[in-house]
Amino acid sequence: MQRHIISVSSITYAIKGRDLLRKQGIKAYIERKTNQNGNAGCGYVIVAEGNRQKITGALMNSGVKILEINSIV
Amino acid sequence: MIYFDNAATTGHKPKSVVDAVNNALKFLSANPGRSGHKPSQRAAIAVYEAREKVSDFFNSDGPETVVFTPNCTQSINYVLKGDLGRNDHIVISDLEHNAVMRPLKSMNIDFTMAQVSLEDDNITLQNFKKAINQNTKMVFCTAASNVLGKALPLEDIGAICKRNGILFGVDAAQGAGVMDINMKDMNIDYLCIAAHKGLYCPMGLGILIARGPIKKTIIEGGTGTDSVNFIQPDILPEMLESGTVNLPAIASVGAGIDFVRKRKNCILKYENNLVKQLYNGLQGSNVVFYTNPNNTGYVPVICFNVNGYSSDEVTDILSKNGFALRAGLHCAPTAHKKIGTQQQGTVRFSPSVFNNANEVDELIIQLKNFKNYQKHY
Repeated sequence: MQRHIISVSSITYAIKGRDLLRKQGIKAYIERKTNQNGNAGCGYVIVAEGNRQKITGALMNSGVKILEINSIV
Repeated sequence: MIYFDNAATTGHKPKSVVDAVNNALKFLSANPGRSGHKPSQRAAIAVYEAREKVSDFFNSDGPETVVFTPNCTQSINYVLKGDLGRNDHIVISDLEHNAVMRPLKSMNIDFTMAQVSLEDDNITLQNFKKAINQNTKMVFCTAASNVLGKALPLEDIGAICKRNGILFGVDAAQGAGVMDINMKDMNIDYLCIAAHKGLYCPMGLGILIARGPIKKTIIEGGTGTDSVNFIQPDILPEMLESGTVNLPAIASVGAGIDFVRKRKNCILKYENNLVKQLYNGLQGSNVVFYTNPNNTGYVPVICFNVNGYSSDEVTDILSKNGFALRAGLHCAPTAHKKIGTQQQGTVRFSPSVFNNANEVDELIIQLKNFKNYQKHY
């Protein structure tokens, strides 16, 4: 199962993204980034498991702008 | 003290709201979204849930459209100063509060004041239509006058705005929680709310729901987002929430909305009946009213004067006899100009669901006996 660490612009969008992924049956939670490299974002990430395209599509269709996504197999 | 000054702030708060504030002070006292620890995350989730509840109640586009502010005046400033430019024209009503008039004056914005008919909404709508010109970018009006209680036909004004491609902003300080306000159905782009009034939350909490664009900020600072950048983030809601938010008040919004939602179909009727009781009970007395609450299209706010007394004298005497009402211009001189009371002001009576008919009867007796009180000067 692929795991994706998704940076978004704010804690508001992080929670929104988590909730809408969960509504679609996708396992998702938010956590604080431990490896901050100074890029844009709120310091929180959505961690989601499943198909990357499905996850990014669901987020973008609901107006959740993805700043960065790292996928781990 | 019998409190009839609920248009300024609701004097009594539901137990559920008080409990929510207490709970937040005990268990959510951390800065939401700023830190990674658990209390901060819990606080952030509480703020998010409040945004969801507000968005759902007023039928907006989602929690990200809900901005928490210190008060309704600041919400209005965010809209007017955030979206209007030097060459823009705006249409307002002739019942606006200084929260609208003063920002427009300070910005030197070209505005046209559409007259509100106190009897016929069709005349009001015609006046709004006539006031629109080719430079009109926005219509901004009160949901209901804080002086006269007159509610504006928001759905029809929203339809006019939609037909003309104009943004529509509403000052719902007196309307939210009392009137049924549906942003999508009414085509409202900006809704400004005083949560401490009709939503029964603590003072120090306003709300802006922005479905339309906000281009500029008037306050910049830490948002907990994009911190490496000195440029203010341009994404709502954090764009307009620099600095620490009023979490205990925000955490009570859900309880306030639940309180109102349970009584959604009866608050307006119940409170308006108290206003009618006062009006009808003082017919033939020394008390002069400026509107007739027996007409439709009013929220529970009414103004009056007592012949031979200034409005301040009346509220002073009432206060000494155990009644809290507000005198003066109520920060809305345009509404007073409309009824010719800009010199003397008026006494404002505004009940809440926590008032009852016996209390109104006591006020009627006081006012009927007013000739027995000595003037101060």
